Amino acid sequence: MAVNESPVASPAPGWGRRFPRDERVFLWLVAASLVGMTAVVFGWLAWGNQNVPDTYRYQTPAQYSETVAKFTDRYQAEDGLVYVPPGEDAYLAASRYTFYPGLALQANTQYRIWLSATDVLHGFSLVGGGQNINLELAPNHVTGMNLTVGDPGRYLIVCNEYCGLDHHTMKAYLTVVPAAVMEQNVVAAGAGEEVTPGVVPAGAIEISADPTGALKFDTSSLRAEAGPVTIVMENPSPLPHNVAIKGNGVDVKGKVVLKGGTSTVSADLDPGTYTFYCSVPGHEAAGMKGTLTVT
Amino acid sequence: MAYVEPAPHILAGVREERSRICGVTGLRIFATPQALTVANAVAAVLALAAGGLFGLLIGLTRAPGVELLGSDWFYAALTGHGVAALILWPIFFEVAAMVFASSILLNARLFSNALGWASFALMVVGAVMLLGIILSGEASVAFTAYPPLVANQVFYLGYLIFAVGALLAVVNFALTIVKARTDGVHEGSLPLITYGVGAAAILALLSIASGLVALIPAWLYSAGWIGSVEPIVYRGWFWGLGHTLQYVNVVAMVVAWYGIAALAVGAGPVNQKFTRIAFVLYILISFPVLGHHFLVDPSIGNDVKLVGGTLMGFGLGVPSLMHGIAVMGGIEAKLRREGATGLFGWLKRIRWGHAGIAALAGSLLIFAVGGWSGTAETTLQLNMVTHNTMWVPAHLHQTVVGGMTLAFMGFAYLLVPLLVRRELWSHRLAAWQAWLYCAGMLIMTTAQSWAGALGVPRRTADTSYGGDGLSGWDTPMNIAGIGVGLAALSGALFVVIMVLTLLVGKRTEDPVRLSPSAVKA
Repeated sequence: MAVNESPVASPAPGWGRRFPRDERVFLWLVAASLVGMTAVVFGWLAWGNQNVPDTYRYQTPAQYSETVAKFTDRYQAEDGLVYVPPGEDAYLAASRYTFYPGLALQANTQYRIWLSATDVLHGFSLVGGGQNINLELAPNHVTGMNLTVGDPGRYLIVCNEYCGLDHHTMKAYLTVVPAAVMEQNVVAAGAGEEVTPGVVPAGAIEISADPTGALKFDTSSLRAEAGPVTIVMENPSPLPHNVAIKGNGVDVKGKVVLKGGTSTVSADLDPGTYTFYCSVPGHEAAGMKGTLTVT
Repeated sequence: MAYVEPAPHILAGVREERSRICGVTGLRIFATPQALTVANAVAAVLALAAGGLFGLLIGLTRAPGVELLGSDWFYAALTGHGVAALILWPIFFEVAAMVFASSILLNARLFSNALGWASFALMVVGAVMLLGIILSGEASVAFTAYPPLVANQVFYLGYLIFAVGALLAVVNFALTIVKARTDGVHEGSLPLITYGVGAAAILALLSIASGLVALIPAWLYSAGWIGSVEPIVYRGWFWGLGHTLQYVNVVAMVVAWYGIAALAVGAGPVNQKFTRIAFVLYILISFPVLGHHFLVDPSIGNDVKLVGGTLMGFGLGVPSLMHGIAVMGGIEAKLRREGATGLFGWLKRIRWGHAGIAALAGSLLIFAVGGWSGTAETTLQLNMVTHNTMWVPAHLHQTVVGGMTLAFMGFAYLLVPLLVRRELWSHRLAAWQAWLYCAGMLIMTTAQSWAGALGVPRRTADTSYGGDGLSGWDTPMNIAGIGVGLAALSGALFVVIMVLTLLVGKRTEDPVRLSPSAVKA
């Protein structure tokens, strides 16, 4: 502590040299707390479980609207919601005074959700279900957020950047559904949309999912010679399916396809017994599997 | 302090303008700077009153138990509140402080009286245009006016004319100091208050320049002369105006802290060098810290956000901590020299029913809470939780209202009786007013922080979202409404005490009655 001098008069000459111990100790304490806080912020970036997204794209409102329209056409169900199967990206556009489209996501699954505004600035504020996540949305800028949704329910989203005289009416729900509901709706909405021409590689084993929607393949036993093995599965069923191989250290999965699609899986197999199955959650347990014997 | 007679050839010029010597401070006060200080201060108080009235209206609209205004009026009042309380009030006040600290404290004439009046006139014209177009309902874009949202172009022109006026005032301030020194009227280091106001003036310059870069394209866009304004770039330049300006306020608040400590306790800053370093730190950090407005914006990487937002935000706490300790340490050192003993003995010597001390203590307390809430929201990860929720208005009311406005009220209680030679109408009521304001602001901002943590959005006319709002939202918003009511009541009480002091306060020349000490006899 030093002398008191009036704040309205010129200080006595030599004031620039006085810097006693109390002041220095105080500044060291402040510096130490700054270092501590900075370490927490950087540490959380590396090891924390909720951080600000840093994946961005640049798309004009017209381009982004087109992307959202295609996405919506592909997955929109009869109830108006867009059921996004796991593994697919979701898109949401904010414009005065709506969020479009209404998204339905599968419970306890991680999604990448793309967000942008198509007219003025908007806020994305997910506040339902004990969440509190807030992002700024601007036209021309598209943010890619990785979001792991929780249990089934409807979660409130509001716009929290002032956007015009009806700003307070701008709200939406994020609908989270169980896997079974997701499957029904994905199929109902997207049936036939993703038809990949069935080009079957030479020497491949061809199988099919049950066309009635039962959780099984058209065979439960396959044989193959050691070496490269390819299984091609057609999906005439109303449910999403794929084909996968596991056993003896092998674990490979084909793409999940909707009705009319073809899922292909390849592996280099030694002689032994393997399991081929559908990896869509619950399907293998329900019996959608078989034995692949390699000789 | 003593008045230093300038060299004779200077004096010949100086005496052309009417001046008086203040009987208490010994300062030579020229007529024009005195009139200009008063004019700007009156405009500042009018802007504050308008801002406070808008604030009461929107605070009561946000309380679910009241819901005073319809949505159209709410957004107009919201825009008016931001413009009046966050732009007009601090800049008018800062210009008054600049005239006072450059001319009156240095015994000098203004560099140019004409420039001073021209700047005042432009600022008044700009302010009237802004408030007029807002009340007409054609500029309900919030004071931030983020494009592509557009207001009537009168709104942008009002902003620009006001900014040019303020810019002229900064120029006049700087040239007045230069002239005082080249004329030999002032020698040696600048007084701490002039130094502090100088720091505020540099920040005001940066802030206004940044505002022009943001608002000129926005104006051209609203007039239809250019096709688009990049919204993220606008946000950057706008907050170069908006946030830097708040540090003009903070510096002015710190100056008021030192003023109150000097008048109420006779205490000075604990260390001139320490204090001045803190002012320089404000100048260095206040502008780049605008990065924290981008923390959850698209297209900006986390590296930029961490450095320009989070780390700068943390750093900006340093000068405020330094000033806080320097003001309190100065009072402690003074009282210890007068015989206070023990760790807290000096606190027992203070009269807590003293209006200046009540305001100083409340201001230090609420500003400290505001510093904490700001540090929390400038943290990259926590900003994702607080961005555009009620946490943000809680932070800015803790700093700008609970910190700054309360400090100015306390400073006014001590300064006005000296200026008008009248005893404060009721010193006891003034102290109660300050404590009540402190309580109202603490209740309001604590409830707002609580609401923000629950996700209640800011700047919305209807928190219920037509019944879809969360059930936990109503309680904190209603409690905040109670705080708004207390603060408004206390603010009205401040005006009443001031007016009655000016009109019917007892005339006296007794320094003990004019400036009662906050130290127990």
